[in-house]
Amino acid sequence: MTTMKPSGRLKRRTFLGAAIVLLLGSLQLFRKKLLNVYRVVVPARLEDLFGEPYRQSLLAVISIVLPTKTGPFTADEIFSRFRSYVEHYDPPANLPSAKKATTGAAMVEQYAKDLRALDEASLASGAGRFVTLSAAEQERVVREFLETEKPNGLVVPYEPFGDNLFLDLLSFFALSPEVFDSRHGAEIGYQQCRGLDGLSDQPKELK
Amino acid sequence: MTQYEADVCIIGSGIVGTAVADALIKRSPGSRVIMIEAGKSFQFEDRWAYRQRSIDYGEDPWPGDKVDDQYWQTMAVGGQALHWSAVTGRFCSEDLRQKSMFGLAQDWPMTWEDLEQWYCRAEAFIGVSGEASPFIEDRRSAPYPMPPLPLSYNLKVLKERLHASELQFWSAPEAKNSVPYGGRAKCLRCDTCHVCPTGAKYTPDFTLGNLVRENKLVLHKNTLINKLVLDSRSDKIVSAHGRDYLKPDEEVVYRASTFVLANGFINTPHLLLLSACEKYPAGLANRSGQVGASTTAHTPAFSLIELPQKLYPGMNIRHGLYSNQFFRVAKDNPHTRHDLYLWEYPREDGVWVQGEDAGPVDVGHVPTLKGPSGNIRLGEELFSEWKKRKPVVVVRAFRDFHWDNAIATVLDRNQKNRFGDPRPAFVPPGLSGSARKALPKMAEHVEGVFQKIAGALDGKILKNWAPQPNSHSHPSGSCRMGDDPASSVCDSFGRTHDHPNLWIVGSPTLPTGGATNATLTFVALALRSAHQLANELKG
Repeated sequence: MTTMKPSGRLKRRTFLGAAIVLLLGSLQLFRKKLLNVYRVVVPARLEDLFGEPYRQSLLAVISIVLPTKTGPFTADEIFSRFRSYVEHYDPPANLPSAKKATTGAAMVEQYAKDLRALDEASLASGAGRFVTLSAAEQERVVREFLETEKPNGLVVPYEPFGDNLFLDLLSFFALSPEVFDSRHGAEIGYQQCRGLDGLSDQPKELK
Repeated sequence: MTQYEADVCIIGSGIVGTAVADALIKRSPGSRVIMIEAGKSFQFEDRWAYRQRSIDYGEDPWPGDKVDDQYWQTMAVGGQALHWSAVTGRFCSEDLRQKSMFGLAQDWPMTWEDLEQWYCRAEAFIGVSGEASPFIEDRRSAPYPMPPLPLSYNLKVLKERLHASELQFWSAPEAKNSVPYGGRAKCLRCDTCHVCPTGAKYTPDFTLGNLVRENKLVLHKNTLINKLVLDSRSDKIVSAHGRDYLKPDEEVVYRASTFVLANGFINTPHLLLLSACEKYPAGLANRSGQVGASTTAHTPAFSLIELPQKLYPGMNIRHGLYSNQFFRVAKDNPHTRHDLYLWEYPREDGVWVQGEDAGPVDVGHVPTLKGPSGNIRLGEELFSEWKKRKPVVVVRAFRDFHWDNAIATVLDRNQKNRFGDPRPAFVPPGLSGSARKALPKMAEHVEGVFQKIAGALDGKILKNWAPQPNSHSHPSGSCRMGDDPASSVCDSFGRTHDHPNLWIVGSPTLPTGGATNATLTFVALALRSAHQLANELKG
């Protein structure tokens, strides 16, 4: 077997090749690092959104936007259900009814932005942060935000898609994918299998 | 290459293939039957989780039920019938005699009386709950296997109002158990029939699971058959060749004395076209040129009717009232035949329509944040207003409909699957001349019926969908049956005219698509085919 020494030109090519390989490898490593950071950031941001100080803001918004004074769900219960919805949102899954798609991360980002906007509006008016306001003041800030920004033309979206926190909360509660609002569903036992007995009888009036 | 041998090789594991397998095994015990399915299988235990995801997120309740480089329809063990609504209307005698009665399309090469006995067997096989109306179209030689599903209070009230106006509706016949049946439970009203968590709705995976457990059937999933190979001297099929998606480099070969194609109205002609050979360059079973042609369907029309009555939304939205009062062409009317199905409006913000208007249709039931004076409504105020919304029902009519006889299923040479085979493409043909001419009168008639229904209920029509010339439901045909080998692909039993051991069963064989849901008809025809095939296997 004979071997050939590389020529100077070949050597340069080899060095150049090695440099390119190294560069690509570094980029790949950098990309992986970035992705790892991204993976860490996403749940951390979910935690941020549903942890303090946003948690209190979110509970206040739920009490303002949704009918929590009557019906089966407290603001805390809706908070938990909504958190679970966002946490387990799986955008690659088949969504035959989806008009538009988003990602869980984009949802969280938008919701955090909406809550920050409440803080900014509250601070700009000379008061403290949104959570420090009275219930009546909080409601005023939310109403002003909706009247000014008019997200999605104030139309409740078909499903929560991450366009706006307040509208998505309404959508989550009122337009659950199957039939009715969560409250109605809970009152009639929709989520449970109810059996056929008594189906033809007139149901009791709802609250 | 891995080879398997069997007496009968069934390609496709949907409701039709399942009916054939079950009937063959019962009538010809000891026959070696192998079934091949391109898609995956689902575990029964997972249905609850699928249901919950479907409720919470609107997700497809059968995740991964499609093979991404094939036609978009479900490919999985159980086929399209995993999703089906389980409405089991029957075709009437007029459906089988369209040509001789009205000069439309083709007559069927069998009598309705012959088909009717197979309807009874099909209803017994899948388990149908229902009640017969007094109409002549509902005449039957055996009662429904199960009593009707009880009507919800809402449907009971509506039925009474409709009957008072001589509009006759009945509890819809459905393959859902009103009592325990076929080793499956009574319906528990989970109201998510697209994924029935209890098994009260018939899906083929039950039957297949039993047959496999009892070692009566060999089922190969994840295997795509892409070629049938012919013995050119006898014109018989000798083998089916395919690929296992999990071991794509290895060819799988199935040898059998009989091959049954049970893979639907697209994939059946697709496989026949893919199997073109030197002797049959236009594809197998295609000397008539009818493979992929003569597709048929029915066309839907919908009406949303708002009602003044007090109803209780959400009682049982997956069940409805059914009528075949307009199944027969009235003497003084143009050609207008259709069924009717009425049910509680399923979503607050709209029903989904296909085509250019795809998406939910808002009928004013979405909570509106903006109040009448321009104020923003939130919380209790918003919902108390929203709770005053009036109930809405949907009425659907499937109308008789005839395409011209153009080729509809072709090999798409520009789109190839992972194995390099052209994918199937479906191009809906144009309406036949007579159907196009009849369309305006048909639309007028159906809208008139919707108006009558709205009037009987003191309701207000919120929206009607007049069907567009090419809007269609439940396409079938593509390898139609007939007595004449020059104009049809197979005989009335599904045996192809060109290849004595190649059978086509179910939807591809239909000459006309009827004016109601067609799945029960597919199953009835499949059982009839299986009966004939079993007799021949027994010699």
